[in-house]
Amino acid sequence: MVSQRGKGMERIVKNNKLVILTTLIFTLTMGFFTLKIKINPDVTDYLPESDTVVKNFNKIGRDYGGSLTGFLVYESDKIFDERSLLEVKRLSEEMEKVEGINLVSSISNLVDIKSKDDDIRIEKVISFDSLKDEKYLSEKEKFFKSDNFYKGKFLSEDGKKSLIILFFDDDCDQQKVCAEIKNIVKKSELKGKIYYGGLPFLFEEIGTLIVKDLTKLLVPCILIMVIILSISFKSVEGVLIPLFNSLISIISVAGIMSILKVKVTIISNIIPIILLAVGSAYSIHFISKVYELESEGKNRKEAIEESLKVIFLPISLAALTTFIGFISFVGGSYLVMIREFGIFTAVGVLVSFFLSVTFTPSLMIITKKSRSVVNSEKENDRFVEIVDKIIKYKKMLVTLSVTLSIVSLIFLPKISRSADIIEYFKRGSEFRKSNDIIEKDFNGSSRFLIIAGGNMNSVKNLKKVEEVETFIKDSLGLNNTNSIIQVIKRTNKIIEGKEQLPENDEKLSNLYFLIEGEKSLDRLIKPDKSETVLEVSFQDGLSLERVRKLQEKIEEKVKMVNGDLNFSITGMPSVYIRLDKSILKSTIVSTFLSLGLIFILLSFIFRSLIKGVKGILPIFFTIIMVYGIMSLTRISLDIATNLIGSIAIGIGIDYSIHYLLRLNSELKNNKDFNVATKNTLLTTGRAILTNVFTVSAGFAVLIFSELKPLSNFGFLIMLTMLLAGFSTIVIFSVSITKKERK
Amino acid sequence: MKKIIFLLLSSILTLFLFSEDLKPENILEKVDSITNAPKDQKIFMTITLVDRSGEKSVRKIIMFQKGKDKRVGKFIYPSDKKGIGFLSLPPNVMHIYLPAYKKIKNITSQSKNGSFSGTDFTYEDMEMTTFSKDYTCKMLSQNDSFYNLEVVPKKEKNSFYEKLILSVDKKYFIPTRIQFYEKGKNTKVLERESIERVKDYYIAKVMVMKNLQTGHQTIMTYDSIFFDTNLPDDIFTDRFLKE
Repeated sequence: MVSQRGKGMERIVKNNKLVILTTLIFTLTMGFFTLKIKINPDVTDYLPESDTVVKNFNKIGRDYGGSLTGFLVYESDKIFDERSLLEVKRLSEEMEKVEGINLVSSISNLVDIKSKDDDIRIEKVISFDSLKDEKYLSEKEKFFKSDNFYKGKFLSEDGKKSLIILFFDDDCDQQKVCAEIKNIVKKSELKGKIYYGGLPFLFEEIGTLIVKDLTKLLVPCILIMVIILSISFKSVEGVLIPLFNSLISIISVAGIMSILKVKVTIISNIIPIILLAVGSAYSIHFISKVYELESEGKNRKEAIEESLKVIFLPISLAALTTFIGFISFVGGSYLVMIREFGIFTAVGVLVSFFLSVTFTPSLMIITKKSRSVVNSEKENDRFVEIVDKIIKYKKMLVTLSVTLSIVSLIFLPKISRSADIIEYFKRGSEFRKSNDIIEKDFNGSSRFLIIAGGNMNSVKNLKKVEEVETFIKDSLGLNNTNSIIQVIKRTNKIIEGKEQLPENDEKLSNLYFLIEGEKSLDRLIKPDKSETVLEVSFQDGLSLERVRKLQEKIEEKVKMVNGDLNFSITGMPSVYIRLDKSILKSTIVSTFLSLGLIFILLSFIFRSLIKGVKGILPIFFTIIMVYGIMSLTRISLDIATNLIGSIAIGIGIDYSIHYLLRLNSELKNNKDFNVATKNTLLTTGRAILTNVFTVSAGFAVLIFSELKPLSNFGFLIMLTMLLAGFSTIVIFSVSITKKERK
Repeated sequence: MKKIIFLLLSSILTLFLFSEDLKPENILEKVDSITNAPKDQKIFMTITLVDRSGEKSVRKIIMFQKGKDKRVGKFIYPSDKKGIGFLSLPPNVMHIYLPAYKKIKNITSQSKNGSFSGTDFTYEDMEMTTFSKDYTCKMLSQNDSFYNLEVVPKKEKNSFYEKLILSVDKKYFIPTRIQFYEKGKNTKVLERESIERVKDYYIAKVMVMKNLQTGHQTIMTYDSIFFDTNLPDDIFTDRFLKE
């Protein structure tokens, strides 16, 4: 097998120009597809479409004319004056013209039904002919602040803000619609100020931030890598080759995603940064080995051929373990976006590995330029001094590591979790400010949607839905509900003066006739009356734990009243609850899955279970410490930070593999353990540190991401890589027993 | 018989002599004369509502109409709607009879944009219209079969629509396709199909109104229609609604 591999390597060296040409053609082709890649900021796509909560959420979108609601808040010194009302009216009318908006609801177009004796008058709540009448305006302001139905819905308590609700078509291009709305607002030259809120604007903002992140972070990441690689290799090829490797991997993955019509998500937008950091590692090890052999007097061609033979095993094992780390998300995660992220990053890792044993040596033959000096004796001495110190203070270092791990273990269960998308935005960001206004001044934008399936032509069944609604209002204190029950009761009051459900099904049928065809009703009941939706709105500030308890109580209640009806609960709060559960499960399963798989792999390579355990020890300690730090610094386990464990294992274990394989080979040539360790540290140890700094610096750039989970992720993964690199060197330098040395 | 021959001859004559040179205003006048010709009508109608997923629900009504703006109708199917009646009188007054409550309610609406009994037709769509009087118009294009006109409602019409685009069949002078525009958007399309001659008049027996925003559509089919039966005025009263 070795000889076959040797021949293969020789062929690569021989046909280096063909390899380069093929790689370039492949890159250009993938580059073409990369330009067509699309972005998907919709967080409901995190969960698989088969998930019950998502299914019901999509069903509402399909059957009730869109599940997405956007908000515009118009703010001025006083809403109930002529200028402000006219601006709200103008804005609402402009919004109605936008393709993709199927309904606009604002104080300017609300319709009220009034009755006197046998006359029913349907008219607009605000008459725009009376705007000069101060008394009229004052009365209307009072009405919006005190009426049970309208209070808190369209006018803020201070009378300075007015809410315009936009109902989006379910199949519209949300980003395009949002962009058009913002454009209209900009062109309108309003005196009042506009704030945007609700899911469509949130998704649009995330989409913008994804693009911004990609363009903003990639360049500094590349620059940092250039600096570190320049310091480490002191040569142009040492900088450019790893960089090319990473960039080609990134383009390949993006191209494949585009061909397969997989869109970039809030998670997969970090793939380029990861590949930039990880993809360079294999060629760094390769270049390092070539330089090492050149310094021993070999010419470039010989050095490359031998490096290929020697380095193939450690690099392929490192790539395999990293691949396992990422692919473990496929089996370990319920969340679609994370699975996609896992698959495509794993593909990128394979491409990087492949390039490091084909493209990298082929290029190095052409560049030919040997490095003048490998490392000065002075530098080596300094490094040896550090190593000696590590060995000298080994007991203290071990005690420190164990203590830190124990402290971390204590804090680990207290780690907080976050699934609410608004938490993605940094405090003080424009969008968060807008959202806070909607939450504070209006009834809130979070909505449970309770679907009740069954014959809604039956008063008996409607009474059950009413019972659930009353329970939610009276027992749970969630007063802002919207339902067909309220509409029917109001209509019944108009007909026979009693605000209650009608006495019999015939009367109900007559009431339906009166209200049928009202656009806003399509959002509450199916046309065939086989199902209705009860909306329960509340403010965003509630903790996820509280929201979960509310949902559980509603679930208990609907079970009690079930009868002929079939209840199910959905809405964004339910999506968050499901996401939260999935994030926790995903973290635990994928971390242990990758740890387990890598343990099996290491035990197999080193033919020893103990070595398998020792191999994963540094990364195990690292992960515990990182989760401990997360708990202490109150960084939540979220959609991005849940990836830390598996990524750390996948990347961090490489250090163990490189170290142990080199140590094994040094021990074969040199029986003295100290000399073997020293040689390992001076060669592979140095490459590990170069890689640690490159990878950490690459990830550190993510700290500047506009999205909070990614920023936290950047910080944590940087920390993880530094800890993993150093703990590999420290733990292996002090923990290899005399028996194992033999 | 003489009437038919006269009508046919005059149509053919109009077609040959003027069709190429007809001004948009003349086309609308011709449309009005064809559409508003009957003195009264008695219609048995099936209304099929089709939602965006293709599910259908069917209603049947009997409707009487006299002149341009007097209309009375009663639901005869399904059973839960049976007996519900409506009486539409000028201007903008609608009397609704709710049999379960045994009450008549007079509904006055500022807007005629409300749905007519859950259909995609609004009360305004159900009104008899005199295009030549209520709209200004311009010719957009024409081909061998159709005139395409853009008609804009006059202020007095108090229409909810911004404009309509009519495709007028050159043979029958019936607008077989009407596109409705609200606030810059084409929101609905009405298509008239199955044009037949009943008594002295040409009528489209099937009307399909598609709501382009919701995907919902309403199909109105005339099961049978009787023209000029000299309907008495007392049909268009509350008393008749309660019967």
